[in-house]
Amino acid sequence: MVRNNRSEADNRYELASGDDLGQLIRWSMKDAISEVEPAADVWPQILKRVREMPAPGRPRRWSTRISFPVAPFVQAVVVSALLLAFGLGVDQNTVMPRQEHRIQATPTIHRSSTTEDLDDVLRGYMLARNLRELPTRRGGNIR
Amino acid sequence: MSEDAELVSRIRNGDLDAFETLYHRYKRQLYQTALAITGDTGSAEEILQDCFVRAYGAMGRVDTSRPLAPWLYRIAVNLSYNWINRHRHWPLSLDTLIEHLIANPASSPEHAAEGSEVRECVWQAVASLGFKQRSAIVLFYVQGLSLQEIAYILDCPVGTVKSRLHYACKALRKKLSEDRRLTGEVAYGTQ
Repeated sequence: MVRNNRSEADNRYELASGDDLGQLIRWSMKDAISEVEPAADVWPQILKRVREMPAPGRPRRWSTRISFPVAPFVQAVVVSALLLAFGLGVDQNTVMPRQEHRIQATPTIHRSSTTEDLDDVLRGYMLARNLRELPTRRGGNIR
Repeated sequence: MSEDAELVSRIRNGDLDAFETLYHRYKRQLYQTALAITGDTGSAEEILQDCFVRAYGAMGRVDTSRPLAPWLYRIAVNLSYNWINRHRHWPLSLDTLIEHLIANPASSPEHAAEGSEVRECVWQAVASLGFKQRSAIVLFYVQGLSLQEIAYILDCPVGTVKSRLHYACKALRKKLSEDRRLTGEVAYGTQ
């Protein structure tokens, strides 16, 4: 019954996916279980459990889709809250610093750390070179 | 109004005879699906039982403008998934199940033996797949559902169903072609 509902695209897919394997699976599994049925005592057990439950009843209103648009409402609330907060801040001059509190930027020139580092390296190199040369000169003088 | 929608309407009014009619209409296909996924007759019966109890509880929320079968399949597959997660392995009774399933009479004892061996190989190859691929194979090849219906049941896009079927078939081909029990003829057919 359900198989008849298959669209043409599905059937095309089935053919493309390898009908030989599909037939093998169907023959092995579908044919093997086609006659298998659940035990007769399953239904009485279901009935026993269902009788202990309340009747399902009609769909409740709250469970159906809510027609009121929640997302735009939430967005509007958030935006208006932000605007209100900003407006209050402007009114109390807390958002922007006052003129007298503003820090005047004075341009200064600093030596960059890379220049300092390079000087240190050169100085160290010179020192090491001098230290290496010193003993030989001394030794030469003693001899 | 479809027959299922009429039954649902009666069940909502507390008509248990209508619920029994619904049970007998779908019990076989839902049981077979659970059996093909879990490979255990006892578990398949438990799943069937839980499936109808849950369906009864949710009957008030079911959309009668849509077909009922995919919704029932969805409950059964979800319950099978829970079962697989609890057990994490194919049950030890697989051999017994296969023996039970393949005990159909054939034209000759030789054919019966040969056929039973092939079926056993296929069952075991399908059992070795993960839940997602296995359920896609069972719903598509065994239950003959459409890709759209399977996508609804497995709660994924149609493209994902196609991909799962593709990789499942690839894995099955590999497993079956490596299986020494299969005859040369069958192994050739699966390559």
